[in-house]
Amino acid sequence: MSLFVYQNHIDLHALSAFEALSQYLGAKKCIRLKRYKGWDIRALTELSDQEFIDHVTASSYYLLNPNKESSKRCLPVIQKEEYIAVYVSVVSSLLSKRHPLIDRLNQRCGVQIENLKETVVWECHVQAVSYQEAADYVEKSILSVNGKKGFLYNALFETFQISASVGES
Amino acid sequence: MTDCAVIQFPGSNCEYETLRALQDVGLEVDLVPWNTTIDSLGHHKSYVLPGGFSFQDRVRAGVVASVLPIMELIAHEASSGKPVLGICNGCQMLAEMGLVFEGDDNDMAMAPNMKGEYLHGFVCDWVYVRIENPASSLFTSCFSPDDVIPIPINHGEGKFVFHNHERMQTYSGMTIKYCNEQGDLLSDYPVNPNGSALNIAGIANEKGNVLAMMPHPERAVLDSQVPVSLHHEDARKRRQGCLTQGPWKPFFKSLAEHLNV
Repeated sequence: MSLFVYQNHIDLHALSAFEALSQYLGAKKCIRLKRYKGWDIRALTELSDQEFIDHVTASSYYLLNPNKESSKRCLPVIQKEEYIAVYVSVVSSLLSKRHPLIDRLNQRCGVQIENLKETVVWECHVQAVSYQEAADYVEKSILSVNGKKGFLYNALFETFQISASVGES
Repeated sequence: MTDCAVIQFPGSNCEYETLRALQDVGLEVDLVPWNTTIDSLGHHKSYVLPGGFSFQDRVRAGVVASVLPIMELIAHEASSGKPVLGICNGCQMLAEMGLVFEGDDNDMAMAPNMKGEYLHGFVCDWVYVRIENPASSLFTSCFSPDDVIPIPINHGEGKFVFHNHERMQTYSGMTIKYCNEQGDLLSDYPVNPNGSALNIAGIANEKGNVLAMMPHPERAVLDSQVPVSLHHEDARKRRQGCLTQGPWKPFFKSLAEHLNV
């Protein structure tokens, strides 16, 4: 099951990333940028996915702090006349082992999480006529700086995946 | 021409002590804001990118600052041979700019601190370092490879990662490496406090004029900055009241000598 957590108020990470891309890196076709913290959870449970997530997020603030954050279960396809959404999921390649939050969540919430994967998902709204054009633009103009180094990800210790939607719809 | 420009970014917090450390060795220093006009730079003999949390470390530490227009000028000045020093957050900026290995087949990045296979979070402590090939950089020509030097660290993303790890093992440029009190390069925590590749705490380019380092030399220039609790000769001298300067004052003196001050 997936969970995508976002800030209720202004996300300064996304704001600075957008300003840097549009003002300094010339990515003018990217008209909006949103950021989510993504959790991919595999657990032994008899609860439904929604019931399980409700239980875990109500019992702890590890995955979601309801005082300042909200969540979605999936990030759907968005294709509008003005823009097309491209999702970039960034994963750290340093964290190959068991996530340290698994034991804390299992202990505090009384659940049996077997695997937990953390990602940062960027939702890029790009002015384009097709998803493919938007995805190409993101890969060429947003993920790389001067064609060699990554801006939204660092190739030396992170990997990325581009998609039209993320999570179970 | 002014000796040095310390660039002040939104979120810098070490610019004033860096300025003071440079002034204490006789350098004339300007504090230059990040959004200054390019015309007001370029008449400096050297540049320092200080520590702090530029742009609150948003996206990744140093990455937003690394794409600012002022950095194009810094890169140009570095390629012309002028000294450029990045300390802590400045080191992260230089890594994001690719300035240390510019034109090389290698690249480096500053990853989040790791302890073994787990994230370790922010570290704030005094550590020991040794300097390899000190004569190959203008900043460290005053040190000997046998010196074991105490220095403070204060960062959350300080793990050096290299694209070409094998090549780094025979790198001929200057490197600063974490070691224990005896000078042994032990790769485990706490000697290597962030899991850096090859224990690297700082690295200069082959020409020796660009230095990216995570520890804070500007916080170790005065005798009063050396903790008396350290197991080091400087701490013993300070306990006895006969330490006259911090261990990293010669570092800034080297820059002053290079600039003929």
